[in-house]
Amino acid sequence: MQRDLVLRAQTGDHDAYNALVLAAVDRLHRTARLILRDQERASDAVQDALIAAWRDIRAVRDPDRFDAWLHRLLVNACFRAANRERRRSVVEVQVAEIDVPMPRSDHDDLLVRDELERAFRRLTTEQRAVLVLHHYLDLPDAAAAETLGVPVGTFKSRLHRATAALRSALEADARIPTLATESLA
Amino acid sequence: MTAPFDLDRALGQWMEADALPPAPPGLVARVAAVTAAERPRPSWLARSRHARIWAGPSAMLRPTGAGASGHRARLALIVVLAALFAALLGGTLLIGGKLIDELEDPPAPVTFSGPYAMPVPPAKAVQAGDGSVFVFGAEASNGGATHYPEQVLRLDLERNELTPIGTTPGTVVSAIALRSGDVLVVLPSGPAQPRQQTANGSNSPSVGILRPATGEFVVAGQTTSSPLWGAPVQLAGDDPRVLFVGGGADSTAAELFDPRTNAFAPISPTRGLMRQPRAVRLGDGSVLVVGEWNRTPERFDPATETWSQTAPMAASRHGFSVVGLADGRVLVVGGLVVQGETDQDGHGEPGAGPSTVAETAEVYDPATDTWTTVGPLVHPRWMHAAQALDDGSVLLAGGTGSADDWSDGGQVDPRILEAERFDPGTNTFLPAGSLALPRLNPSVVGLANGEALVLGSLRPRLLGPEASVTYERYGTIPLPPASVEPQMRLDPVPVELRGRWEVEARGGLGFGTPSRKILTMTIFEGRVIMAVSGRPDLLLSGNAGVDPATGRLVVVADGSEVGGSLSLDGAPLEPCSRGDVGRYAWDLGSGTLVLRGDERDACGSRPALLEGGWVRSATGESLGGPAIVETINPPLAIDLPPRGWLPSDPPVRGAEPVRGEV
Repeated sequence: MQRDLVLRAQTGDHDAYNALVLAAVDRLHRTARLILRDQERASDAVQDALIAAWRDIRAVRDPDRFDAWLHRLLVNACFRAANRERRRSVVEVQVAEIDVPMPRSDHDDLLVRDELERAFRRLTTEQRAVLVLHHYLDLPDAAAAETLGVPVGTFKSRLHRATAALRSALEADARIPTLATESLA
Repeated sequence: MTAPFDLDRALGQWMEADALPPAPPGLVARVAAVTAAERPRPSWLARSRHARIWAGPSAMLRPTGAGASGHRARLALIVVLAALFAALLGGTLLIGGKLIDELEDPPAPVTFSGPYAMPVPPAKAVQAGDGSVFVFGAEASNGGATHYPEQVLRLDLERNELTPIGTTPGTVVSAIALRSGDVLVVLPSGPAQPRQQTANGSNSPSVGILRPATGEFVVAGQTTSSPLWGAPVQLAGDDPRVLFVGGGADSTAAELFDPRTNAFAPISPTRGLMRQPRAVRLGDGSVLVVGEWNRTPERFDPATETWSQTAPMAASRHGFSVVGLADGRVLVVGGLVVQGETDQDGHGEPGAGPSTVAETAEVYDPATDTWTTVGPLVHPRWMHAAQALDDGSVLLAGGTGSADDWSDGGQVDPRILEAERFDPGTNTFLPAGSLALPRLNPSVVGLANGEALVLGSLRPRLLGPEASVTYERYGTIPLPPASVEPQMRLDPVPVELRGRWEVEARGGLGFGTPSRKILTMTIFEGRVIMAVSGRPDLLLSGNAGVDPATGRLVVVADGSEVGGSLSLDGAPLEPCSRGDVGRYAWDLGSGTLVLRGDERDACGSRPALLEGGWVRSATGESLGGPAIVETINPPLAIDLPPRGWLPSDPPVRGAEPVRGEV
């Protein structure tokens, strides 16, 4: 089905492309939001990626690999968005309020997630991208490496470094009070 | 939080939960609004935008898909240049393996590179199933009854080396890669070419099979009917048979060749004449055949082995190309279009009326049996080459836009250096770079990596001999310079010869071939190619260098003469009947022609001197009967200053020739 849509889109069939967009946009947006940690910039990155994908959809040699290609565009768009963010240096971070009583186990889970959230923000965009490709998109190493445009070995080392960095950030965060405003990497 | 802690599991769960919010509804609408107003870019432009540059400890260029291989040094240079370009754009660079910037649109131009010299004029080229590229040398002749085996060369694209692997018993007129991995070639025959007779003495065209793995070439079978000059097509699916159609001026013959039995079997003839037809396999397994000067193509149904006529085209054409498109349609492009009346079958004749070069193409949709006129072409052209690329576009290269190019006396439209590509998505033609040399009826081969080679040319008298013995590559990465093992070292050599010299011979200068005159001597990339009598049928090739002491040009032939019954003073050099009389050192700078044969000389090695118009061995033995005294107009030296560029300088393409005099 998707293959057919890609082939049709490559001939200029805009309806086919819209169908591809609808099928992919939620996943792409969630991925971008994880990498960028910002709703609006994630939307911008997804929009940039999807427009670029339409313009260059004929670059796709194998329609079955459209998703992988789209991920690559998205990651690049996220990097560009991060560069724009970097120039702003500091952004406001929305912190979810936790005021609803909940069972102990759920509360523990939420604490873990909150710690992960804050530690994740301490990583660079590249490190976040590596972790997202591996843990959220669940891409095999080879596919993730291709998405980033690096050799598999390079991806593995980056994944190792990113995981180590996250672990360090978690440990450091346990010693520092949570900040409401953080500097992005 | 400290370990023990299953970070991977927690991270995965957190991401799933954290990323739950869907995309905002306005996002899809914004994307739809923007994309609705645009069309996708042509595929080659789109792909060039998606090559990405990463620089790090192991710098390398990573184009998307095609053309990832190439010469390391050249790649490194490209990377450096592209990285500088990226820096200028404020793009992204990786340093030490760390991404600090990203280049979205690096320059990865798909264009022509070359020309690259070849030892023989190519007749056809094909890429076999294992990726090997084979070049079949053109017929070699001295104009008489003697012919010489045509070379088959394997082209190493990584090293840009052509290695002879054997010969074929005739000039290959068609070559296709079979699904088995072998290469099927078609060899013509006729009374004028008796040596092309097969074992049983028949003059029927024959086919041969080249096995890439071993380099073995075998004559596999003969047709049973009149000459079949049309391009063969292997049938679809599990049917390995190859369809041959038509050929001569009055041919409606068709046959099927079965590679399993090496046998031809006649089938029902086509309904109309199929002169020099082009054929492509359609998606349903049928074969579309388009003949010259015939508006009504025909479809062959392999299941019933019958023919049916398609809807007529808008015009009958000559010198056109037919290419199957990835979407199932068929492109008929270029050619001469006859003006005036055609017969009831839509046949025109070259002399029936003035012909014009087609400005448009036609696309056949097998599903609806309809022809649609598309275009215009960037440059109307015929006698060109067309090749489908793996992105679905079609490359058009070479040819001419002048309708009066029937003979060597015609004029070549200089604009025809520009190539173009057909975009099947938009049915439009767009410029696609420029060849370095004009080429008429060049051979073309599509490579598995999506690139293409354009080889050789007809009409060397009109276009100059260099086009006939060179090829150019269409792709993202230029080939390395041709690897030529020097036969004579000139240390130090301060310059590389790049450019073109033309040496006009006066009188009967023949370099041991009194019946011929060397009219041109062309140098590419340190390789010299001499065309005798302005024809490609006797080409002498070798290496050239500049003697730093004298500044004179020194030519070293390597014995790769193509054809020509090399003789000395009129006496054939038997048994040197293979066009190879060994290696020579021709010192044109000293005023003395010195031939230094080596152990590879089929006629025996002997140093020779050219004295007073005589060629004789250094020991005083005459090399050939002195029936005809060669006339050499002194001075023999080619008094040309070294012209070239330091190795670091870019090559200059299309340099104007500098005329010298012998």
